[in-house]
Amino acid sequence: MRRVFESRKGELLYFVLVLGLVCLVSAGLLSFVYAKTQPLVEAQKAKAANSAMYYVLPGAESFERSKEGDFYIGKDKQGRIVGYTFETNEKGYSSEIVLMVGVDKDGKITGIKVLSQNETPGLGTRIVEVKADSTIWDKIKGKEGENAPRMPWFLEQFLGKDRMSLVEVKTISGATISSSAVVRAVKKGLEKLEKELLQEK
Amino acid sequence: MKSLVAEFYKGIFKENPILVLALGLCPTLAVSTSLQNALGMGLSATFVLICSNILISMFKRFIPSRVRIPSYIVIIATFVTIVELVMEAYLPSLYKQLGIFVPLIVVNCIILGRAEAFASKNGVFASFLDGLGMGIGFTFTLSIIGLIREVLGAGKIWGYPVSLDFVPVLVFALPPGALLVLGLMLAIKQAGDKR
Amino acid sequence: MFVMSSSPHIRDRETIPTIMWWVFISLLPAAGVAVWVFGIRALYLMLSCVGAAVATEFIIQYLTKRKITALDGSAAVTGLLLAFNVSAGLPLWMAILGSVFAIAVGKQVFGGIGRNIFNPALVGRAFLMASFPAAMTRFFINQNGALVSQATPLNILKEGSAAPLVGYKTLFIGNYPGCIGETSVLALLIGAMILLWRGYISLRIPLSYIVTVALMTWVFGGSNGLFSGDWLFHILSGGLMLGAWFMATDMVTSPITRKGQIAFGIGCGLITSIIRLWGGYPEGVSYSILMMNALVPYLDNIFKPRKLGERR
Repeated sequence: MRRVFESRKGELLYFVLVLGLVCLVSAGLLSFVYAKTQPLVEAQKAKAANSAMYYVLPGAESFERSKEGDFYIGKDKQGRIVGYTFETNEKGYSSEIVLMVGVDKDGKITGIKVLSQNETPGLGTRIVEVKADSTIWDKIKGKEGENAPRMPWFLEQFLGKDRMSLVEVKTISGATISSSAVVRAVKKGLEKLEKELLQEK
Repeated sequence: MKSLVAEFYKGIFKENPILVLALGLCPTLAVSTSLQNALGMGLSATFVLICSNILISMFKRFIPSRVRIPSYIVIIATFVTIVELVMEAYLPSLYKQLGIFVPLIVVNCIILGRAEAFASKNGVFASFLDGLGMGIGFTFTLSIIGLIREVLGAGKIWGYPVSLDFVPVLVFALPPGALLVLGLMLAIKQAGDKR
Repeated sequence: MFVMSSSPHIRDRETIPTIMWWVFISLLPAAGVAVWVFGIRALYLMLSCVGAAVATEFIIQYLTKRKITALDGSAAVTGLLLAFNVSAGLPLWMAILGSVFAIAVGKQVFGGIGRNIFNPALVGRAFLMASFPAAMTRFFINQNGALVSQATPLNILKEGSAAPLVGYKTLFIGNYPGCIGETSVLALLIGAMILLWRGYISLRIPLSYIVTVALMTWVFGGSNGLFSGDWLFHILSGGLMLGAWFMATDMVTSPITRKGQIAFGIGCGLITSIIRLWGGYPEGVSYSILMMNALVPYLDNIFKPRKLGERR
């Protein structure tokens, strides 16, 4: 046995054997871990997507996809329509800003959330800036402010607005491009929703 | 026994992977934007480092030197992928923050460097201690950089504001800030060594 | 007593302090206009920047036990130039921080005067731009003693409004929003005359820089196709005059060969125009000079004079 491995050809065979074995063990181990973690990962992803919908349309208990698949219809426990949610996007300063918006039956915005953005830190990212009300020192002392996750102050302006009153939203000075992109995205999404709702009727 | 203790200690200060060996600078600069990210990256790398060190020192006899690098890389990549999967399942927000830099632990020079320079020549227990010490040294240095950058660049510690009306010096949250803080730490370490 | 060294033994009466304090004097007309246009706040900004720069230089030289040359005027010039490069509304502590950074990281880290690669004042400005982008890009105009926020002409141009709102005459005199030292072309040109008269700068860098910007913006800057750009507006606005006459010409960070200087000016002009016309920022003077600073050793190498008989 040993002699086989000492020949030139045998050496090569030994290399192949070792590498093959290493890869085999690695593959086995990974498939085991993958099988264990994948359900959790899927659940996390689904939860993240769903939680955004529940967040922007409070009161809705279940969501149903529209015929075109462009928006979701939110219904309450009795199956009555509460409102609609949709995803919309627009190019900001340095990235694509993706938003989830919820509107009630009258077309008034009930909630808005930035799903992803990669704007300039300190300027464009102010669209998701949250005003803090307690510091780490309060936290250490155990003295906590209202701890409800707060809404970014810029996005708060959108609540209760409809397509016509969207112009009242004030853009952020120093972050005009990013903040007006958010306004444009919402407007675009609302127009599309209105058109499609008409068609479905 | 004494030498084993030394194997553990050297990674923390005397042969600190970042400040002395200058290894693993890419993740150091890229993910040290906050204490949380730095700690997450440091602990992940430490886990991979310890596991790969143990495994490589165990099998060093069977792995012929001409195919050692591919074998090491496969072993390291396996552990990195495990870390990645586990992190995605249990710590999704950290996973999203660290992004591409988790898979990139595979090519972190500290890990392959320790496999090459230490684990392939030493016993299992010594390799474990070496990995642990190097890992702690890496995590500790990374966390200090992360803390400094988070306080100055975002005005926060562990995600909580330091003060309600602190104006952050944004450059420290950006890539140049990483270079500035690392450079300053290297200079301080050098000045300390010269004394 | 006897110092032995190889030839040549050229001595000049010009010392660093004389040169630097003359440069400082040449900046004073623009400083005066700054106070006239933006009010007393501009004076506070200039005083704190100059003070912080000199103090930082002194402290670092003291701590590292180097020869103390904090009063040779170079730190004062850096501080004043940095103050020229900020908006009138910038909080004083930010200006001071920028000044400390300019001297500590832009100059002393490299070994002090003569050894720095980048213009220290511009290093300070880049630091401030990266650190406090909102405060650095909010510009003001003085209305009856109060500072009122207003966009700069270049900003208005960038955001795509029609004709720029200020005329050439205003741009020349300097009564419009911008960084405090950059607005008055007239005052900057008076200062440039002083430098030319003293022989501290040549026309090579400033002229090649300004002409390149004029050409580029004339050819590509118009909305009605090629050759329709408003080049006069472009060379009169923003920080071009300040950059071209006082910062690109910094002896330490610009090429020493003549051809190198012309190439340096053209490079600055190209980068400035590219940033202004197609980049994300409305103004590109400071970044263009910093980028060209990095190329200075190569430019000097390319245009190195040949030795007698040396092959090309």
